[in-house]
Amino acid sequence: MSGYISPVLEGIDTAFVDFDFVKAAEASGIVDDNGTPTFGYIEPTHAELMASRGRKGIQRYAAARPVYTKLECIKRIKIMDAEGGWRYRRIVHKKNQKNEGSCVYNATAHAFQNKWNVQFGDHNAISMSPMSGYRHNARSAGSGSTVGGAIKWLSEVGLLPTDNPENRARFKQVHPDVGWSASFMPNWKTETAPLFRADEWYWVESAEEWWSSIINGDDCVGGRDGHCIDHCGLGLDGNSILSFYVQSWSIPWGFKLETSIGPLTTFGADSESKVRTMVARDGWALGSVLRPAFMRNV
Amino acid sequence: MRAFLISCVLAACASGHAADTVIYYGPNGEVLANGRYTRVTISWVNGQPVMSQQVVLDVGGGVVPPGPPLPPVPPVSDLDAKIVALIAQVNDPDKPVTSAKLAETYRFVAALGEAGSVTDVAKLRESAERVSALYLGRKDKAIIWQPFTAGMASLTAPMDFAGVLVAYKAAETRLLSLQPPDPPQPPPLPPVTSAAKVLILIPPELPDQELSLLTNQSRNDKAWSKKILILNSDAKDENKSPDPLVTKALAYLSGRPLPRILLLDAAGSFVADDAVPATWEAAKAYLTQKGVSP
Repeated sequence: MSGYISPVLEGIDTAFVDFDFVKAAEASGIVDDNGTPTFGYIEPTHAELMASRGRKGIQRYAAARPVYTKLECIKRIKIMDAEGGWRYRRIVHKKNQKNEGSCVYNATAHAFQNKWNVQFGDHNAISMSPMSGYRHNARSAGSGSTVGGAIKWLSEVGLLPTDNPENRARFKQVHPDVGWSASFMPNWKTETAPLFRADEWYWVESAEEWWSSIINGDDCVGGRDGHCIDHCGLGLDGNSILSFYVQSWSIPWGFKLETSIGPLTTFGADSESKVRTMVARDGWALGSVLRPAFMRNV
Repeated sequence: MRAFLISCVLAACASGHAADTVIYYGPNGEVLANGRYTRVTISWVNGQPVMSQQVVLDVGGGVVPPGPPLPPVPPVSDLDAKIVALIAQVNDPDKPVTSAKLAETYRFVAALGEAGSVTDVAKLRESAERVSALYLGRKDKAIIWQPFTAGMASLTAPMDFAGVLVAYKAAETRLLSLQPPDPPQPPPLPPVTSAAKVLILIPPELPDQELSLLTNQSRNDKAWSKKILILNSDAKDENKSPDPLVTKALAYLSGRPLPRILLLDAAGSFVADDAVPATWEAAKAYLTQKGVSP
């Protein structure tokens, strides 16, 4: 490493940069329905890609928000480092997909929660159930799913709050974070899930857009090498930009960053080449979430 | 001329006076009238005219013969009111500055008259016109102040020498009474409000790095974060209808530009709004001034 190095990258284990998900899945024995090592990200077909990108209301990131050149991104990352501007600070409820292939919904749940916490504050954080979406977008516990399917689900149907005592006391329907076979509570789809929907997704098509969206305060969701992760920060190693993601595996894994609930050892980083892989397939930035009526008086 | 000089010398010798006899001639050979002759110098310092005068010749005594009777000088109070009215007719953004220059004009010309440097009332008025034009300098200023200078000329036209001096001194006093503008004052502190909550309203196309930093820092600040709501201006509720609070905010703003920081009282009514400060530190200072506490 040479030149400026983001403080959070000082001394990290480089094994967590461009981490090899395929090897990790092989080592863990986690495979999809076809026996392919994966944590749940499956590449969309061309038709699926076109369907998700062509949805009404979907905007291309470059047409909707500021995009910076790589050089500008490098300058801006230094400012964000100095000012504490990264969105990984908003993590209150860390997800863990365990041995299921629900990474796409864990990543989108992370993105949803972070955006919720930006809009309404960490004190209003609500843990969301990835399985409440994955269960309807996958063939099996290990089949995996596509990012396009998840952004559609979060826009049109919504996630349910995690089944925990706090949420049970507050909402009519909740759902566990994991457990393919868990049953859904009656009327979940009409009463509670619509309260937790994404409002604005942006289709991210280049590494510059990916970095810019994170600098501009959005989380970016993308998949590579059989896994999908939520990216919520950037770092610099000289002139190389690294994109931080929050892992949806059990803690500890990866390097440690300071979050709203203290330091969490759950982060990895992807280089430009990995980011380009993700945007070439299916990269999305979450712009905003709906404000349901129950949030009007908080 | 020669005969006149000889006769003067002879007269002096015959009278037995020991003092010298001095006679001053003008450029055409005429004997100069008694009085003090003043040299007036107008120099320029930093683009501003600066006048100075010096008595360079004092010719014997002598009495100015009285002229025809002139109309009485108006009472000072009446004269003063007329001068005030003339000044009021001038619409000059630099009025206090220009009036100070004109005050110097009238002070200077009055001093010439009092010193005996100018003894003719017509020349006194003429001096006032010339010197005021010089002090006003720019043509536009001469035009702007024309209601006053022309008014003063009309006012003093029927006056005798003493009356004109009184008028010029009164003009000087009045012109000086227009104080220069106060130095720029810092903007007034925003008034304290009954605000209890804060809404940061962002146009959906504008979440840039600066806003991202500010909103994230506001959330990192746990003491303040509970007071703050951050929404896009196209935010929607669970029915995907426009968010009622945002709709209300946009109506309240009446087109004022976004992003905007809006303050709400405990009842949810908007009590103030402003442009979003550049940094979270500045935003906190603004909120504190407005009476919002973390």
